[in-house]
Amino acid sequence: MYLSKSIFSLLVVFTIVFSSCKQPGCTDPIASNYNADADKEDDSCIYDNLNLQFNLKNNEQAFSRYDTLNFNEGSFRVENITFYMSNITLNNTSISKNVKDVHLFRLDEPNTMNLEVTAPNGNYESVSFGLGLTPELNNTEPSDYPTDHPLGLNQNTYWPMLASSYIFVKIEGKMDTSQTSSFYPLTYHLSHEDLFRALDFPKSISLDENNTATLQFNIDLSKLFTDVDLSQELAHERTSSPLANQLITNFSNAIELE
Amino acid sequence: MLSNWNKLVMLLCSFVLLSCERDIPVVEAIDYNPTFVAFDVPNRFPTPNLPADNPLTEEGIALGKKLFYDPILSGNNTLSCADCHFQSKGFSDPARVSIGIEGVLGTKNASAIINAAWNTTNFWDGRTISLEEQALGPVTSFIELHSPSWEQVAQELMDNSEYKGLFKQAFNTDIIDSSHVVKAIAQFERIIISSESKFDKFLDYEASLTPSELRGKEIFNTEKGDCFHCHSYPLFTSNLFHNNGLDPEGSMDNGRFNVTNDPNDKGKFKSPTLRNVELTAPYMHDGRFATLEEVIEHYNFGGHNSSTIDPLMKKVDIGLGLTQQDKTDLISFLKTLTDSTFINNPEFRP
Repeated sequence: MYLSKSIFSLLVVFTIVFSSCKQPGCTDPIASNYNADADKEDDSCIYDNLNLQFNLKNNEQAFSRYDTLNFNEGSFRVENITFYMSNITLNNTSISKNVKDVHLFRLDEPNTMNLEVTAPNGNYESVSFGLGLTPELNNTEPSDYPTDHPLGLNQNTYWPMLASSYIFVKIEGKMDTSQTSSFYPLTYHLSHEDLFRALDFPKSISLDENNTATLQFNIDLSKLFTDVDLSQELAHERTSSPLANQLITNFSNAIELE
Repeated sequence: MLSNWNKLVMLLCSFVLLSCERDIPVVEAIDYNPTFVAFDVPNRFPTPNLPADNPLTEEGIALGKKLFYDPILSGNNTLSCADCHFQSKGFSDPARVSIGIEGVLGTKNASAIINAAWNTTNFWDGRTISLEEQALGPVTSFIELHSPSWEQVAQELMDNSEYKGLFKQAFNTDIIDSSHVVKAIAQFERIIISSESKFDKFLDYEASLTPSELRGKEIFNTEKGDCFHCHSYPLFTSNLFHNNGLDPEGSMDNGRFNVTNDPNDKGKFKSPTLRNVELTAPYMHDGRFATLEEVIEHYNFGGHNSSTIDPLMKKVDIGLGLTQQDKTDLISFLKTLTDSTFINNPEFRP
């Protein structure tokens, strides 16, 4: 009898104590094996395994902010390039796996030129994304998001007035068409749902526990002004004018996957 | 005498309890019982990033307001924050540049404190990120409050029995230092919110705009006036740095360059909010323009071209080509951003 009382005490104590213990697991929400029920980090987290890097180029040459593009009609000093990518997806014959809803590339924020995401292990045949925002995302507004979110107020990418829209692509800098080093401000803001472009880049991609794949995208800015009439002004409003379409087509063509 | 079983039970209990990570409750002083305040986000505004280590409390806000209006933070107890940030002027300074306690002139027009909770940087050159960091500078600045040191300020506050109690209530501390002072001031600054202008009421269908105000709104939000790029709704600031062509190459103020050391940032300043702009004269970083008419005339002229002129200043050297009626309409619209509730709000008064 005395023995069984002690065992009972022991069981009660164990039950109480163990039920109050924390559950081990990966507690980092950005890890691929995040466990929402875990409340004690056990160093088991597995992190991003796919890295998308974006590099600016002028033909084959590396290009940086404040560098100048020279072409037949003039010179353009690039001060900022900003663009949205949405619905970033890895594809093979059986699945299309969305790995990121939206990303904002900003030349003035170098950490946005490298996007790390988590994707399921496997073999993929292409990566695709939309240049610009899907209609669902474009119908939201900055007040729907934290200020630092890619779609948040601090990005200054929203056209808030009637026929509101996010700006899909910003090209900002100074142009000299007189070849006399007489630069003047030139800004193109591309903003209209019709300017959305779905892009697909065939590429054999293999992801497993031991491999972090890196995809190198080059943006060849020498293609920016192909067939663009530089004397034509683009109003900063939600428009899908021929000039806006030419510019977004050029920008799409400028993005290449190595 | 314990039995062997009881010893074993106790030993195992001790072992298990010690090996199990527990949150040990913090025993708080009985006179520290802050009332937490939920941040009231206005309609159509996004939720700002608020620091987790400085939550809003009634006690913290009240202390911050008292400090804001108290010259005790200045070297000779003659000047307070409020002496350069007047509520009736949208918490800006009507003086072109502010004057420090020794009569020394500053170099910049004191920035308005309006919706500072959404600031991504502070000061014209953006040299601080947080409001707490911002509040550190002026107290010891030679051209502002010029206290000899933060240690001396803290000692003066600790020698004051009222403040001692207020800091205890707000931050549960008997040892006051600069971090407590700036946290309190930042809390007060975060609740200085303006969101009830005539234009806000217009968007809420509670007020109508006159024909002139409506025309001005159109000018503001289109290429015609091209104001919206740097002053878009709802904050009416981009929180970014721009060279708006005030000066030609060679005579520009360093501006943002002083922070980044990047020559591409010379002559760039943070775009200020235009909320209550009717009240925040004079304008620009150096207060060079006394009236809104002068400001609009600058943009209508187009500004000076330079290597760092903002790409958004598309009409530099050309000008906007606004007519007198356009200018009148634009100013009419700008005046709809005046928020009388804000400048008369008793919560912001001493």
